[in-house]
Amino acid sequence: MPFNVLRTESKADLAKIRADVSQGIEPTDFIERGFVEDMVYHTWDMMRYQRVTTGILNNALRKALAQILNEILLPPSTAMAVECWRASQHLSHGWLLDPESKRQVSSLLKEAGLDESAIEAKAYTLVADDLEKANRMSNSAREGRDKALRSIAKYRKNLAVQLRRNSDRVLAADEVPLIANGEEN
Amino acid sequence: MASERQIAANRRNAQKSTGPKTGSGKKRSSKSAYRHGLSLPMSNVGSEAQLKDLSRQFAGDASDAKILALAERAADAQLDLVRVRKAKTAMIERALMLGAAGARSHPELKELGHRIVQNGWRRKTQGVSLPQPELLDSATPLPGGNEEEERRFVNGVRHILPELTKICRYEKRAAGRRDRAIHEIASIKTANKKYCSSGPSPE
Repeated sequence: MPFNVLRTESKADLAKIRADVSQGIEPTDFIERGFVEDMVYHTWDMMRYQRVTTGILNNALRKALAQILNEILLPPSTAMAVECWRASQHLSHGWLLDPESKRQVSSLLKEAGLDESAIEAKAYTLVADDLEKANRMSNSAREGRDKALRSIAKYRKNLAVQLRRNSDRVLAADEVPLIANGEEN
Repeated sequence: MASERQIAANRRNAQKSTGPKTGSGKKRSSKSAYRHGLSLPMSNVGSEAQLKDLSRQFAGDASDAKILALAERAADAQLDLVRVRKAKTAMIERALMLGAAGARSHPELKELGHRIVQNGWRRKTQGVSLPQPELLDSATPLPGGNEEEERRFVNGVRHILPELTKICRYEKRAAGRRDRAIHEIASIKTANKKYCSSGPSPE
């Protein structure tokens, strides 16, 4: 049974994944088609959570940078705290969009003995809980996909046993020589 | 410590409040613990025709009573799975919509954006001059078109991750029930073929 994608997701991309998986597995009956649909669903889910994981981290970068800059810019007296906060907010906002802000951020980080990896590290600490949850969901989707694949293999093994027995029965009934000699025509 | 008289009075009073008495009250309170209904088997809520149709497809050409029962179990689990997946999609969609509407209409965010644009930035810090921050208005879309949508999606999903984790359990349970039924059907079919086979055993 096909599943629904979100209104922000691409149906064309889903169709491509479905076609690719179907081409690889070549389902032969209703049950195999169901397992293939499961694989497509879990693959899609995995991609969705990977998007979320990357997004969570990306969205946290600005906040992380603002916090680092705030620590760097904050003077010993707290009288200028609001101004420093504003400066940090502004620079962190422009950091990804404006080359000049990027240059300023780099120079401030360098002055403090840091580099851009400090921003990523700070971002990780800010959203560690959510990242862990998203990763868990992504792993769960991966397990689902692998399980669907194993299920197809197990189902096909049973099917192969059935087919082999059928063919043995045909052989035992001496139907093969008839076909080999072409005497049925 | 309560006296004998108080204990007796408490017991008498407790008899007066033993839950709803009317039919409608009992009906209403029966739904008190209802959260999402996802643990309810599909056969209790779904359409009979859909269940039968799916059962037939799982059973294939088999007429064995055991296989038919297993096929019905597989179909029931499959419909559960579809229901849970639909609920999951709807949950994310709702988070997307509410997240977007919430961010846009949040009065504090609007006020902050407005204030920042009005005041401007005149601060010079450690010799670094700061340009005017016109981009900080919350009503201004971010450049790149889909970036805003992507952020809304990520924030929406991020907020419902705990709920999604819970719903995932129902999904796994339903998938497990279906797969077990399918493999049992396949095993029975294999065993039946062996039993019915008139030819020699392949082993």
